[in-house]
Amino acid sequence: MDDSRSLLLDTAGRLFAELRDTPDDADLAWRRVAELGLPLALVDEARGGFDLPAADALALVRLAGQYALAAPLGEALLANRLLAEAGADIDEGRPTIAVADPRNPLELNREENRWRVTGRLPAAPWAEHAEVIVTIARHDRQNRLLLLDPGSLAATPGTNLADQPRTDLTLDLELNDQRVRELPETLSPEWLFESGALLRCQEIAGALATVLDMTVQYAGERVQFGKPIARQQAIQQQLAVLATQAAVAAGAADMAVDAFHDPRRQSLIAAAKARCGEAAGQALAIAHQVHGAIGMTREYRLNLYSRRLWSWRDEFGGERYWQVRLGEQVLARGADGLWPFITELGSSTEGARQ
Amino acid sequence: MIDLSFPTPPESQQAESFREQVRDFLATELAGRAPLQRVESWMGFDAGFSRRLGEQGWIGLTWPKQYGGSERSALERYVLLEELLAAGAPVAAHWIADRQSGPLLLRYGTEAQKQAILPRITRGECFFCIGMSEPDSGSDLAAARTYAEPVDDGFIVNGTKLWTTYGHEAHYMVLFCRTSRDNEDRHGGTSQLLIDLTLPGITIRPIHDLSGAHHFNEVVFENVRVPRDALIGEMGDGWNQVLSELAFERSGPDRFLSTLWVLIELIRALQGRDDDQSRIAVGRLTAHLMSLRRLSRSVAGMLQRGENPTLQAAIVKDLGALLEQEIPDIARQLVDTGHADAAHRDFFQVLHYAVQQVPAFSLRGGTREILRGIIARGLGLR
Ligand SMILES: Cc1cc2nc3c(=O)[nH]c(=O)nc-3n(C[C@H](O)[C@H](O)[C@H](O)COP(=O)(O)OP(=O)(O)OC[C@H]3O[C@@H](n4cnc5c(N)ncnc54)[C@H](O)[C@@H]3O)c2cc1C
Repeated sequence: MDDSRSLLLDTAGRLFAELRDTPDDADLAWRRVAELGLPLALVDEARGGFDLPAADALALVRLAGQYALAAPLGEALLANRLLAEAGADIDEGRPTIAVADPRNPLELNREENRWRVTGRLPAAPWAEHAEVIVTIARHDRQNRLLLLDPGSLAATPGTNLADQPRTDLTLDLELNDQRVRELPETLSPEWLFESGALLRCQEIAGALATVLDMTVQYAGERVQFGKPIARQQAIQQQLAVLATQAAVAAGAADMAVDAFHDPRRQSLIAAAKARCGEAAGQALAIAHQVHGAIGMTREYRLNLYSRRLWSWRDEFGGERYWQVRLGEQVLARGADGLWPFITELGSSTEGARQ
Repeated sequence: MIDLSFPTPPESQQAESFREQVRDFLATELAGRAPLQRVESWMGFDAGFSRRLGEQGWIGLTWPKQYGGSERSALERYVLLEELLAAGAPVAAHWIADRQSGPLLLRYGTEAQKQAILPRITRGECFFCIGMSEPDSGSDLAAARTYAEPVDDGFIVNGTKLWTTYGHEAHYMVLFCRTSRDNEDRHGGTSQLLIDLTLPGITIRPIHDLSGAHHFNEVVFENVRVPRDALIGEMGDGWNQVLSELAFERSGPDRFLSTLWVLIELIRALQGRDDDQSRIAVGRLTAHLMSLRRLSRSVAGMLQRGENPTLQAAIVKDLGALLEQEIPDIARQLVDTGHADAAHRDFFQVLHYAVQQVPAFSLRGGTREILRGIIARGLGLR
């Protein structure tokens, strides 16, 4: 591991560990995270951020998942990155992203010297807590970043299973040029949806590492029939399976992270999100079984992870969504195209890894 | 924090251009090979094919040139193996020698053993079998009873080895046996011997598998006189040597690609269908393959750097066997198996072959329960 990377992760890890005792205080978490400048980690140095490879910045998101960080760091990383790419100011406020369902994109039209945007942004994360919401729309084959003011939107607040704010936004707005900014060709609405899925892969991988740790530790402490349950072979075998699921989720998330700059990122992220989602379900079933009734309580910390994992596996495309996307690509290439498809994706293109 | 890290797999342009070379070779070599043969995966035996592979310098690819190797990288070897498997090439003749017996000799063998054997392996002329399991020693390998009694000029071997894959085609066996009468010392009393299978007193009897095929055997030793220089490594070091052999055995592409040809023929059978059920199943299996291949390549990188990824290798093999076993199960749900449509003849043939093989995938090379025990030990539970 590179020095600057490990320094950053150490610092962030210490902070996230400190915040563990206040898992519901998103404001506090946000303030502390912002003090360290972490939300700028995916922004280039020239634009006021760090000089970090994307993989290192995204490692923060896995760490956030691992510690169940209350603040939406991943969303802020992406939002700031996009603001920088569009040449907009990155102020100190809280930014977040909102993403249209890829099957139901936003409509962006030019009306005289204004823009008109209509459509829906379902389950926008932390929308009411943000100072600016960014999303991507296309107009005349040009990607554009929309800077939305949360106060001006028709919003139906809600939460995911883990009580994280998820707001349905309905857009029917006029925006001026300052708020509709050109983006490079690669940064499409699909890019944002995929990147959201990538964030969830990282968070799932991080959370599963903790779930494994907690469960192994609990099994070592819980005594029944005169010995720790961890001494029972049936429990050991289940914990081994839990470890395989945590490991494969981490590997799949790594694959997604490496694809951040890759033009073929859609297929790689599809595979990763589908696999991470499945791993989350399988791993949690074991974690809860091993914990017994205590794991079903609100008081015990496992639920902080299980409810997040059950939510994250669905967000930005659940298993079914991404399996269909990947499956249609494989089927289109035909039987003899399967293996070349897998090997091509497994090797990075020129410049895909920073 | 429990460390289950799988470092980023190494990559090289050289390995990718080698892939093209391997594909070209296989396209010619295997033209006309039927799906039913391809699905045999690394159980497909063809001594002629192995010889031609040897002529390319592709057996013992990473070994030193002085022993007939090509001194290529472990990465290139990984590419070669996965391309052979993905193409359904008949690699069984040389597979065991290339995967584990040769590397074992390189590591522990005497200079004379290396010079006598390794070049012949690389030419595709010398095949190996593994003599570990016995009638009363399966998962509990240390319970092996075959006894090589040390005598003046060597050993006298008595005992029975079982499930010896391609023992009837092999020239040599790496025999795991006891060399001490002290049965209390379960590990320290064991050694490995290089057995020339033409020696008098060795009887190889076929055991037909449930499909009727003859892969494995019973190999009986009756007062077999083995010369002293057949000892591999140190007397009494058999157990440690076997463990290091198994790490190489457990994480390669042969641990998750065994039923790739079922998936390939499934995709062929699904052509023209336009339903989400097909997409979901194919997408899911592809996602599993891609993720597992990443882990497996990561282990290859660790092996290349001389690390000891016992835990990671066990994880790959456990997940790999599940995937290999699941592919035919899922395939059955997508194509109407009650009506073996003639248009899908290849699909049904590979499916029926695979259905009869898959139970072995979580037995051979360490059972599922044993692997999970290794993982549990890695978690600090045992
Ligand atoms: C296709 C095939 C090819 C093979 N080729 C070779 C070969 O070439 N050379 C060779 O030496 N061997 C070979 N084997 C043998 C293979 O290594 C053994 O099958 C394997 O080690 C398991 O031993 P066993 O079959 O005796 O089962 P057993 O060890 O008797 O196990 C039976 C069941 O009990 C379980 N079990 C055993 N011990 C424990 C425990 N402590 N805790 C929990 N569960 C346990 C096992 O997991 C399994 O489910 C081959 C096997 C197959 C299927």
